[in-house]
Amino acid sequence: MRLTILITLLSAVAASAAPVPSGIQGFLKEHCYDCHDADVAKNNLNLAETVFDFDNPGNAALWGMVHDRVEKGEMPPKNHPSAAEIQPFLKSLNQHLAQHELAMRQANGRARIRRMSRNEYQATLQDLLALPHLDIENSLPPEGSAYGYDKAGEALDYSHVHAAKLLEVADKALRMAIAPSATKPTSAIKRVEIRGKKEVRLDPAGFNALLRLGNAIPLNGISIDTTIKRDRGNFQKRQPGKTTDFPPYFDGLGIFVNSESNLGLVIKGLQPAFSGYYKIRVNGFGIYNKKGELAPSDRIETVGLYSLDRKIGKVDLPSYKPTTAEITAWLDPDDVIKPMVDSSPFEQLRVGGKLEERFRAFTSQGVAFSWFELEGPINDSWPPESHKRLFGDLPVKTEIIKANRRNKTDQIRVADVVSKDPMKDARRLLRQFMGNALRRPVTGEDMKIPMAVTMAKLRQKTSFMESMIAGYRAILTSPDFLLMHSDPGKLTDRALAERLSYFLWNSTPDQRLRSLSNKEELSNPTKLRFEVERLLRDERSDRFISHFLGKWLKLEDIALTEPDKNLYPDYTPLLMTSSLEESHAYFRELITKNLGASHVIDSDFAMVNQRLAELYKIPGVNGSHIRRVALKPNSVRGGFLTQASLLKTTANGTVTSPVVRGAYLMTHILGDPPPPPPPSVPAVEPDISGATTIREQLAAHREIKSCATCHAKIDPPGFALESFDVMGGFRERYRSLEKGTPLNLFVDGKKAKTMEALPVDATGQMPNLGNFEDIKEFKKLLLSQEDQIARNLLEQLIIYNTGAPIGFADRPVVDQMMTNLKAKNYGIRSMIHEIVQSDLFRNK
Amino acid sequence: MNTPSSAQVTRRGFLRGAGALLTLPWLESLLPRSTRAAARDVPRRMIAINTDLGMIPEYFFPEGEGASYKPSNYLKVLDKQRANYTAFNGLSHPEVVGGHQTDSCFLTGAPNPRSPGFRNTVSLDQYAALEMGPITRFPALTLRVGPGSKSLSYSSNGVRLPAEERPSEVYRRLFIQGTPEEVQQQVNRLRDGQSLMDSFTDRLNSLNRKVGSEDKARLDQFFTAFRELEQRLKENEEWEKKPKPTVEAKQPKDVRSPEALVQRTRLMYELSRMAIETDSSRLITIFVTQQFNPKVDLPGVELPHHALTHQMTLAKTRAQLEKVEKAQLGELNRLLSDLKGSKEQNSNLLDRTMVLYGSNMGNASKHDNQNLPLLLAGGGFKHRQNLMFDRKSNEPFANLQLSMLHRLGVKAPRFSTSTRPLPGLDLA
Repeated sequence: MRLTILITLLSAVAASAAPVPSGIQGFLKEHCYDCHDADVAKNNLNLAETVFDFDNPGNAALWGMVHDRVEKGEMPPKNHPSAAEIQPFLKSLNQHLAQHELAMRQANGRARIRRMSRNEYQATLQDLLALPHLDIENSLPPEGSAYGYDKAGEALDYSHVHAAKLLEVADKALRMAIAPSATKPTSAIKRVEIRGKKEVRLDPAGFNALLRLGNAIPLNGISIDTTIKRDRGNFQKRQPGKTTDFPPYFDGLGIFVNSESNLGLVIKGLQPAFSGYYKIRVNGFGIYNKKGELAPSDRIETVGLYSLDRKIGKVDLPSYKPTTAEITAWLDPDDVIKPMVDSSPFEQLRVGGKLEERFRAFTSQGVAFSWFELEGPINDSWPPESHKRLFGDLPVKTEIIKANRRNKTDQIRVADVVSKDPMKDARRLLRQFMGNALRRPVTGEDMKIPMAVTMAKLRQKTSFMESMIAGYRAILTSPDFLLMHSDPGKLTDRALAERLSYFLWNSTPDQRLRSLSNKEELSNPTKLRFEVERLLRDERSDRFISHFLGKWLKLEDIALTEPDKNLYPDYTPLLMTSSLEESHAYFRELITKNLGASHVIDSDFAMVNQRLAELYKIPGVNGSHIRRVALKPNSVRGGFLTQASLLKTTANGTVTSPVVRGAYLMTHILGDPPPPPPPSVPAVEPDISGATTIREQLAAHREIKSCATCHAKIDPPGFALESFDVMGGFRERYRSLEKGTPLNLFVDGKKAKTMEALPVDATGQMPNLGNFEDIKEFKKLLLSQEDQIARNLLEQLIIYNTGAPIGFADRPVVDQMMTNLKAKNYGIRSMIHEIVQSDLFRNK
Repeated sequence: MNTPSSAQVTRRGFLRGAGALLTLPWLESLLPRSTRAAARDVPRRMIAINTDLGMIPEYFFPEGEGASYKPSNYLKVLDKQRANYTAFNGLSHPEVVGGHQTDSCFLTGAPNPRSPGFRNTVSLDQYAALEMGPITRFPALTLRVGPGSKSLSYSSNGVRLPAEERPSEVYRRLFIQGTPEEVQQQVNRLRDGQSLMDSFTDRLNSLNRKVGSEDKARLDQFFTAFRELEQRLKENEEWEKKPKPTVEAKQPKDVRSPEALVQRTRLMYELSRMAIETDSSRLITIFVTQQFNPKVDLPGVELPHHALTHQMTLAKTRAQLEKVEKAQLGELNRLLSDLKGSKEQNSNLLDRTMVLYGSNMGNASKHDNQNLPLLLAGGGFKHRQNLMFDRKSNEPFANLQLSMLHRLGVKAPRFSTSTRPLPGLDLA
């Protein structure tokens, strides 16, 4: 093994290394060797002894960097050569690099062979098996990243761990697809009402503990029930506590907390008996507790419904107006229903005192619950579509088997499929499934493995259903299914369909795309254009939006840190989920309306709900659904740049750093990533005592000469964004826990120590662009860079959908696309069309 | 004529002439790895623990060098074990920077985890497991205290291995024997998997003929994966047929509360000790992570753990963080004492088990990855010392890891970024 590597390395060096051509060497000698020769080798770069060895990716990247730094005028740093010297040098170096790339592509294509990512695997199985709720992504190993995305072969490693996990996950998914019983389960309505009873221990739907611990207010209609007596028990003496109600009995409970992990409140009696879609109804209304007085408010409160590890959905309840709200969601038998007040800022209530007194300690919004209902499972037909995808119309019978798990002697009823001719049915069903799964016509060769697996099982007298699952599993874990492969050169219609659907749906081509490609009609530009429009209109394209934004703007990292509760007591998890919804809806709006790349920086509208509108100080927005609102001309919002999602992602839980945000903006928005810091310099960490601002600390840092050059470019965008705190709120002063003016905020019901201290200085100077006084002026300066912002977005989309970086050979193609797009104001939908029609997209 | 062919002559001549010196290692390398390792008498083991939020440096690092050092505030917690551990000052992985994200490199040393093209490399435990072979039911155990999907263990191509977080599940895998039907079902499942991997390898061969050289290199990963999984399933099948060891302790209940860091740590340490005692595994990694948010349920601790690390400059919050970290060290102390008290032949488990304890954060407040707080207990080294290295230009942490590999009987010349076995760390 090691020997092979060594031989490969040696032969690679021997085959491709060549001296630097004399023309290029002349320029280097004149302008670069002063610092980059064997004697000085500044930054460890010795160009005098670096050969051309482009088969070695590190060598090609190094020469690419030399090209780009000279092109940008960053090198040489002093005594700039004349254009007459630079142009031939750049042209020649560019040609060498591009020629090498083109030669490589002849044999290998631009992109590497790759497997599906775990995200694509989940989406593909959702569509193939008709299981839209299937949640398996996190059961597979996390993916790597190449060129910023998990869409290239280089990012998608494969190991025995992957192989083993895929077997497990495919098996799980297949079993979820099968009908749980022969006959359609009857739909039932279960209702749990919250009502007190006469002088007995209360246990309405699991609220007992809540009441006993004092985390809920008992209500009579819309006022507080004062007839509850609470006995907390004695832990030492093992006496359980109890809660007793005297008439008039309570008929609702007010809840003020948003954290399901802190309360673990489960509505008992609402467990689903079968997997399937259910209607969940919540009856209640929003309340506002003002130090023990309940009052109406102009808000709409949002209730999150959770199961063990996931959010099922959310409902909105208006203030003081009893309302029944309903959602439809997929539930499995081990799911539970846990309601939480997502719109409340409190994770729990940390106020002591007697039940009737503790609500006088704080002011906060909450929700009063009256009853909950579960209706279902809702099935239009039986067996479900997912089952038919695997077993067609074969009859289903119920099998009763004795469970052999220890401690459980009960019998389990399962469905089995009846086949009169197992061999024939197996062949037919496997071939049909494979036709959908493989993204190409099925050959006899393809059938061998799944048929062999199923036949072996049947011979062992395994049931028909189990034998078929083994065969299907062999398909869903096979290299033919996992790998996306095409020959170098122009993509076949089949490969084109595959690339298109994995671009816009993260999933397998549907029937229509496959039939178009089988007829070789997809490559027709008009038809291709029509299909792009169709795929974008389909809701499966939401997967593209969230996955692409997750990677491009790093929004997938939004939950990496949580704002410090003492500095940001007003932060709520609802704010984070809303801000992601905002960014997704905003990108959708850009696509739908074909709005241009300048909208990355600014816009005259925003996509908000009530929680975001509160943060953005936009009046008159009620409820948790996202809608488009116009922004006032002087608003600091608009564009991706000042969205809460992006501002939170670029902050840690406590503080913001202009360096981090500046580097982020250069990398992800402008496409001009700064070099990494020299390893010996310690990081600047903000001080939350309120004594110094981050700007003052950075000023000292910038006095170090080796830091100054880069930080003159990196810091200014970060300075402009200092006007926004870690949750995305606009600020004029920094928050502190030690100094300043107290803010009147509560944390979990207790008065918070949050204060406002030193003022924010959001002024700065952008090199070559000019000075700015605040974020508004900064945005204006950035808008002058529309071409660069558009080019970056275009390149990011190309890398995302082709799985290959933009090489030297690609630059002329991208230049041409930019020219075409400029006439269309860089509209995002035009951009997608331009890419799909381009040679980059249509070749391997 | 009836003379031996020249090939035979050469072969005999080689065997005779080269003698034991050359042939023995060569022959040994032909033996299955399991036989090689099992041939060694004294079982050597390792538990590697990383607590991801670091330790307050001023409270961890002791003053003074060598044997005469003065235990720090934190090391006083381990005072009874003073003869059984060495503290280190001035170790870190070169070029492993990137704040919290360096946890993935704690046992691999792969540089620049934040760089765009980052690819991890094999972790210490997995490297050792490959070399030592399947001598125990679990060649390596990957565990985690706390939520999430992270672990300290990475396969030979740098893929993160899933960690088990639930004590009840660890116990089940180690000690609960299935019914004969369950064992048979499991064996069947493992056989199905083996034959499937075998047919996939054939299938890949036909695909491999059609692709270019660059793509061939990508497909190589698939060949290796299929072969390795087939091999592993075969080994698992053998173990599945052997009865599991029995222990007195009952299956533990999982502690669900997000604040129960200390209780969860204790459970996982106890299970690790039991895994060592029953020789179910000789290589264990434990990643202790709080996923940033929850606070720790200890008297006087009010703020979330991660927030505390960023406020360690404030006296009030520093006192809270100190409580948390001392409680964590208390659990380590308990693990070391328990191992010391557990006899094996004429020795005890601590003397045969290296316990590496520390963090990927040198200073969590500053997200600094230099000067990692680290200590190594047990394993049969000459301990009772504080080993000082250059705090400005750190000694590679991989040097310590190389010494640990050697102690496990793995004769690697290098591991990760190691430059030499760690000087000053000698066998007892």
